Amino acid sequence: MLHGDTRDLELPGPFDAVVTSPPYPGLIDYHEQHRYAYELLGLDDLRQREIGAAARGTSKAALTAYSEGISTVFAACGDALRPRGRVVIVVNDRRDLYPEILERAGLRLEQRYQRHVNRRTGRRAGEYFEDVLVARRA
Amino acid sequence: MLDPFAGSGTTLVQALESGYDSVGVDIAAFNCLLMRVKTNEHNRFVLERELRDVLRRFESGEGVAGRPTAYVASGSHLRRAATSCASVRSPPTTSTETCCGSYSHARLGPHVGRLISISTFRANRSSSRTGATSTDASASRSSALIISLRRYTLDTLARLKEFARVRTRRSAGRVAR
Repeated sequence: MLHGDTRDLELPGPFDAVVTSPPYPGLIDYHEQHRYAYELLGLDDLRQREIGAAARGTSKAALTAYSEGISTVFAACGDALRPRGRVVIVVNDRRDLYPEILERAGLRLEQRYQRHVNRRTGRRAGEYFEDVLVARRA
Repeated sequence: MLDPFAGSGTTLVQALESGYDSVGVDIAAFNCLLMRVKTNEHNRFVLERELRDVLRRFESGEGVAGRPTAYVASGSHLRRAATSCASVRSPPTTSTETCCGSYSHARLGPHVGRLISISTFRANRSSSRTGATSTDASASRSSALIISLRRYTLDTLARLKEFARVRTRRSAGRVAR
């Protein structure tokens, strides 16, 4: 387990696979949601490095910064991957940002599965789907 | 496998269950705390004994306002927690939380300390959701928190035991910070 930013870390590896579900722009402030835990336990606060934080909104500039941040992470992952290794990304890409993100990260989309999500809570109405993207190094 | 946005560590837990080595990275230190609690290998007998001891001490009145516990009688963590507590406006905090937070760092081993930290925050979030507010008498809020703390600590312990039965003999990768 590594605490930090994949863009700054020297990743161990090589990996056979990358399996992840990235943050999506404008939805969650990952530090703020547990703010008092940070204050009480004196945890390192790295909120400035969050990608797609809700606090930054979903302006054009925010979306551009998001795509740039995520593609830099996936480029680093690609470098740490074995040659035939796969990158599996679970995301509800309603803004269709991921084709460009993958391309900029040097990845090629191989499969796209749609997955129906059973909601555990009834807080949000309506059907909810997310995509499972499978990519390899281009 | 690698999860560069590991969150609370679900990918790592699943990898351990399936027999894959895994590394998780996360920017949020609180997520890293959750990840450690979920993936560390514990001696569950020692863990259970120590946790029950902590709960017993709280329930006997240690750690509530005006009654500092032996665990948190000194040390910079207590002071820092107390200071930061005073500056936090929302969600509401009480001396119980301060002590729970400090508890985890004062004398307890790292496994127990982390687990108690997590239980404290689960308990606190739950009591905020069920309508307790900062305007409630702090005594009743404290006792509600202690009841929740027991519930969540034992629940977390039960989950760890269940996971210990299904996890394979793989490491979750080295712990480096």
